[in-house]
Amino acid sequence: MVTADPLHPDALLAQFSAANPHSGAVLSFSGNVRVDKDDGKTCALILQAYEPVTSHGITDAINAARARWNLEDVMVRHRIGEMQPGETIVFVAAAAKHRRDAFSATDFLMDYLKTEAFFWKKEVYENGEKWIEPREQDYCDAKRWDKKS
Amino acid sequence: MAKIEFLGHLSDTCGPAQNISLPETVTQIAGLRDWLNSRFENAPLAPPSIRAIVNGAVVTDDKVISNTDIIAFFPPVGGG
Repeated sequence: MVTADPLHPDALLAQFSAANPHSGAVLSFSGNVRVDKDDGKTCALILQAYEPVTSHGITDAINAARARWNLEDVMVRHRIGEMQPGETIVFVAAAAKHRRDAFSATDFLMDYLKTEAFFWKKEVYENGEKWIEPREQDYCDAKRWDKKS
Repeated sequence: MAKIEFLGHLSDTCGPAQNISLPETVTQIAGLRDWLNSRFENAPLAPPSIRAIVNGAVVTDDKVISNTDIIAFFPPVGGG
């Protein structure tokens, strides 16, 4: 679930789709290291986790998604360590009978990963480095799930 | 000895980890915060933005601690 090895979203989606040949909806999201930042060109991104706390938290979030929506399968992979622009940081996939469950579960899990999962993120630029915390918009996005049933 | 770990930006300012024999006066997370803050510049472990994990569980400042514990202090989280 949490790995220092490079993530290959095409291969992960192929694996996930092959494991769920009868699902009516298969949806995936990949988050990648952006190339351009306001503070200068991003040279690298460093992700830190705290295992096993990080993986336990993700498992709890997956279980919450399964309890809330009608899902047939879920996959979460999150990278740690140093990665370069264009590399995949996170991959989330959901399989369901109908598309809305897969859309919602993937959205929910990404909001969890952005604001509650036990990761810490540092951006490295040509002229320095900076630890990054979630934006206010990330917290607003995550709060949407508090209100809905 | 208690193992004290510092996560995220705290790993830059406090170092990644220390094995520390807790002073007798330090019995809860709150006391450990104060004691560590007095040892580092600019009191980097000030609540509420810095929270604590003891033996794998997020705790509040009244959590009782001992020299057998693994304790981590961490700033706001977020991946993706």
